[in-house]
Amino acid sequence: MTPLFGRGWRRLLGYAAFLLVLPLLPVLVLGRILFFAAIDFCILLRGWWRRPDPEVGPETSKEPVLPFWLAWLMALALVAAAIGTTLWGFALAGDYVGPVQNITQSLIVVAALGLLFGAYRAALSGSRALQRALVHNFALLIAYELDWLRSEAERQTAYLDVGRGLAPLLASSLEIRVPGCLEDREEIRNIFGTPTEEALSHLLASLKAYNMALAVGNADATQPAGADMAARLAAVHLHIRRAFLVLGPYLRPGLSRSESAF
Amino acid sequence: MPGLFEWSALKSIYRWLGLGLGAFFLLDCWLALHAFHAGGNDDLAEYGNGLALGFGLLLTLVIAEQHKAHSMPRLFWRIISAGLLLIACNEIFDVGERMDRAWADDDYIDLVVLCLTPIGLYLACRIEAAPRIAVMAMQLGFAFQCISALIDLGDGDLYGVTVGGAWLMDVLTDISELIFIETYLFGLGCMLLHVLVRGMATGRMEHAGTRS
Repeated sequence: MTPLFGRGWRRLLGYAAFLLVLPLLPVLVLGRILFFAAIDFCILLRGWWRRPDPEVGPETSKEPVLPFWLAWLMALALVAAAIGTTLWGFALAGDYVGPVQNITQSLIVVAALGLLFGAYRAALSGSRALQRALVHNFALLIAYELDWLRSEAERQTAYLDVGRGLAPLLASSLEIRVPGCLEDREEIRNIFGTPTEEALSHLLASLKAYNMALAVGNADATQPAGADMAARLAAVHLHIRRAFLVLGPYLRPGLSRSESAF
Repeated sequence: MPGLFEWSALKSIYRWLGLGLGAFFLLDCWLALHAFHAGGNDDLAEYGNGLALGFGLLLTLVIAEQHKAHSMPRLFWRIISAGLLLIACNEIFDVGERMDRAWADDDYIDLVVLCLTPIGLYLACRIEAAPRIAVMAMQLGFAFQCISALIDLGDGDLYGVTVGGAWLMDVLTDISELIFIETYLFGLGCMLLHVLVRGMATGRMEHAGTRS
């Protein structure tokens, strides 16, 4: 099927559309500069105003959602501006007659559509900022669990060092609890990628191996306590360090998965 | 994704959205009644409805953007956006009245919209597997829309209801419209949050720096 317009005509139409939109470009560029300057200023004010949290828990959102709110408020303001521009412009165009009125009204409609498009882009940017904040929060949740695992493993390493040669205690006093959020491997893979999912899978496997060795050692009192468990605890430490390494990029605010080191 | 929608950060967003919509409603009521007492018209109330519909347009466009290009869900949401744009233009500029056609009577358009709305709501909730809060908001919004339609049809051929004069009825109609529009907006906002969380979980994060 032959196209309605040849390549030359399409190019001409493109140039015509660009010329129509050209007057709006300085406004859009200026608006973008002012918008992000306002965000930076607000972040600066907020950082100066807020004192550091004395205690931060897993539920604390470290990634600010301020860009999300500002973007959507900006979008709403642009929608209101589009409505206001159209009403004012059409009232103004009422003073003219004939082709001048038609041209004025057409320009007003183009300006209003440009403002609506700017509102759409601002809303989209705000939504993406929120998604980045959510990814960062989820990474923080996992990091807190890893931190708890590290302290638990260090405690048990110290206990094993002290208790070497003594009879092993009951398994329940030394077994390391497996955090629930680390077991959602499919979601972790979808959000943080395969390397993170593999690192956490190896960590889970090492944890389960340690707990299994603990249970076996307690069941068989003739086996020496600690040697095998120390080696498995060392493996747990190693996998925790690796998990922190792959998760590190997501703990920095403002980065998406594609910008991570992995 | 267990519990992500229950995060305090997300909960605070839709609570603030609800508060913002409530504040906008109160402001609109005050402005509309003030303008009515001053000049006896309902233009400000209609502009407020137009702004609310514009917000709905943004929500539906952003929801559409979360789906794959050329997919049916994206096409569905684009159609909804186009419909909202037309309704907003009609609300602000009274396009139907300007056309002066029998079929362009506001009542006919409202009835058609009322019949199509539950179909659109059902499809939207099924496509997005909407959370319970969004479904409840949509159901409540439809109930308010039916009440608003009953008030709005009171100025037509079916039956006539005038309380305090025709201009006051127009203002009441506009305010009742704003109630159901804002209820739908709340549902759409919750649906957008749900879609954003799901988009995060299915790995459809866009490549973006700190500024996009």
